[in-house]
Amino acid sequence: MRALTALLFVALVAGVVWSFAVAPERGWWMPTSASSVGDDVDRLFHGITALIAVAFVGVVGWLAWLVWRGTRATNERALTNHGNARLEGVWTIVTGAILLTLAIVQLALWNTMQSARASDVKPLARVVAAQFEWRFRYPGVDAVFDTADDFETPYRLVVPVGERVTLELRSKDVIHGFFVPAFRLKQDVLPGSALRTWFEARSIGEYDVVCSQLCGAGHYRMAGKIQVVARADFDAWQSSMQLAWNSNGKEKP
Amino acid sequence: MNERRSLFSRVYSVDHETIGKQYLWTSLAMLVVGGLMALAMRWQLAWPWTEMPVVGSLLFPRTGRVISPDFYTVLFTMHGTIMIFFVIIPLALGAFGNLLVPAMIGAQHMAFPRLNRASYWLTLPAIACLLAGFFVEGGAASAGWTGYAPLATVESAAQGARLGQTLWVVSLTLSGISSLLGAVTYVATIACCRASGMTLMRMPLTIWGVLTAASLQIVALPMLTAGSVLQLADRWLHTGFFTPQNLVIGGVALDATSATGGSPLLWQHLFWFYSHPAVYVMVLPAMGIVSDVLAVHGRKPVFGYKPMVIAMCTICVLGFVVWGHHMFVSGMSPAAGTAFALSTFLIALPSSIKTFNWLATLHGARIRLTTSMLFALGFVALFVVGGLSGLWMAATPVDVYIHDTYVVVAHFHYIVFGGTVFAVFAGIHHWFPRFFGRVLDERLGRIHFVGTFVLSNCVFLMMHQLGLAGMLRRTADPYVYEVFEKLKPINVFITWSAISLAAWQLWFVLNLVLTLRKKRTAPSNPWNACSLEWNEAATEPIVLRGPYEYGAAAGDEDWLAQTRESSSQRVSSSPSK
Repeated sequence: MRALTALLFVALVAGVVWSFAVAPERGWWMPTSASSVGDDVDRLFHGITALIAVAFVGVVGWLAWLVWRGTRATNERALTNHGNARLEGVWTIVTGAILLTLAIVQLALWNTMQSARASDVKPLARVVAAQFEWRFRYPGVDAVFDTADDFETPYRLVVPVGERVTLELRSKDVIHGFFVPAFRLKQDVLPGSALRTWFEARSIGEYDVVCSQLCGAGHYRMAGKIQVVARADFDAWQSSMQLAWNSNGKEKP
Repeated sequence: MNERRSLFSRVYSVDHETIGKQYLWTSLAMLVVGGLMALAMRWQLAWPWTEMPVVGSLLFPRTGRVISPDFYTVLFTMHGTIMIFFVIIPLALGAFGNLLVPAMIGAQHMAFPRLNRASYWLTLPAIACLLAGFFVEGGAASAGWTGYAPLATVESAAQGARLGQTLWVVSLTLSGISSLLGAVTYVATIACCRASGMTLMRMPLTIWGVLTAASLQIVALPMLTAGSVLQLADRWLHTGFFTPQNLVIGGVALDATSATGGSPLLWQHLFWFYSHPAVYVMVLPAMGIVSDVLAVHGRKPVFGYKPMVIAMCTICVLGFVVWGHHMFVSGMSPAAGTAFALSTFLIALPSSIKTFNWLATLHGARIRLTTSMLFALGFVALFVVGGLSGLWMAATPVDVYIHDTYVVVAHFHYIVFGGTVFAVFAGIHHWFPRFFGRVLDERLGRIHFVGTFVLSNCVFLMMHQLGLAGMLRRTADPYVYEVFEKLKPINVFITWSAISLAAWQLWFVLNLVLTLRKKRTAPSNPWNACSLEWNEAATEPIVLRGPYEYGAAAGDEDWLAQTRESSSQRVSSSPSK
């Protein structure tokens, strides 16, 4: 039992290390970052992960060793040791300093990610969530919502690459979650509010939009896409959409 | 202690041991119910929309033996609600609080025995209400155990938002009142009914765990109860506390039918103001139990008793100011997010201090690998996994990505299952002789431990990878997204592991049944433990020292009971020296 117990803890360490080591190459890992903040988020994530890994291997490895040592056959009794104030002080201060550093380091990125909340930049599009579909409303040439030249697309949001894109998030019914894994972007869409979020796509391509907040029985299938295109293509797409919308007996806002 | 008491006397008994045992058996029964629901979810995630063999035709005759999307939302809602409110909290506080508080502090009875009795009584209608949801039109509640408005409050938003949700809110309110009555009883008993000489700093850490957890309950629970009442008002009286303006749900404009202009975030604040402290309610008694078990079976005093107590009290206080870390992506002000991130990093400190102290307690210990010790050691290892992954979530930019993904599911299952449930098993094995007069079988216990440890890691470890890949909680079919197809092998593996883990618990059931059929032959103090519950010779014990006098300097043997006059050895007046 002695060897088995120590082995269980060693196996736990091995299992955890293995599962994280093989994950990236097998695709059991975050999708490649495709936004400007994505790389920063990943850097922070990897930093914390490295710290966690050291702490985890150290603590559980130590635990395995202590179990192995503590169960050896001996007639000696354990030490009647009630504690050590200096040791407590050391590990409290060291751990506290590490945690405080982490807490401060992550603040700047958080502020960057949330910077659309207070900005008065005109949103490129309005995300309108409803059970269980995404719709995207563009303000048209006048860049003002709810005017005659607005047009709407279901399912697919088209944005230009390499530009800061601000979105306005609205829900018609319950809370939804606007989650773009590749952009490391997630923001609940609150009914009754017009929250803002932003991203800057790094490369042209198509990315998943996933509803991340439970919104009912169809929550699992509330999917969408973001299509990132070059600026010229975006402009061309926008005017063609507008034209089609205007000629096809558009829905009035 | 008569075995053959009438049902009447058991139901009305105000004896804390009887009540504690009733809590224990009720919660373990509910653990089975909640566990089976987890298996049903696992079935769906591994093989979505496929017929469930054997039980499928019995459970889902109307949907062609498959779980419907509606029923999937019911499953995780009820699994979470049952496990938290009717398994973990009543086990940690109801069962161990009743069994251990009076025994460990030398009180003859609880301060408020009738409140205590009422506390258990109320859990029964609470459970009945919750389960009744399955049999009403629309089915049971389905808005998640967090019951977010307006999905939960507007009847047309979901099937389960009809009568089922009302029953859920009533059940939560009843269970809240029940917990509150229990918590008041424990705190008052600890404050007023300690034996002579049992100073606060001579109390076993389990009692500190119960005291801090019960204090959290007293302060935080009224908030949830208030929130529940508001939710009921929204549902019954058509008030609009949580309903904003201009909603159109299921084709119906809400402004026409009820008051609006409320805030969905208000519910989240009220809910998490209780439900985050609830996490510590679940884990503080477990931390105490583990500290005691490590000392007794390691034959060594708890290292740093005073820092351990301070850490628990710090968790208790800081526990009130971290609820917002559940709401980083909710739309709450980013400034609030900053504050909650800071407090969340801070609360990691007392938990790490406790971990270091557990390791230091084991340093140079003479460990007896009893089942109880094995589960306590398992607790430490798994609590570390769950605690460390919490750092990802405290860092707001990282949390934005992993929020609502399976990383969160992995994280809290490591804390609640790997942590609290392991501590509960440690506690049951440790104190079984004291309360049932029989020692649980060690061989069956070890088999149970090894399988449970291995399989629980098989179930929960790879959930981290699922979450990092972006797989979300509460989705009935992740493979709607092509990218998640590659996660299927992991989900299948986890499902098989979960089925095995559940089946493996039969060793524990077998152990309970076989042991309870034996005669009461356990020695009065089988582990040679110092604390009062094993050494109550006198009706009014006089406590002479702290609860952890083990090891070389502790008397002629390697332990010195809290009540025993020491012979020649030096008496240590305080455990923190």
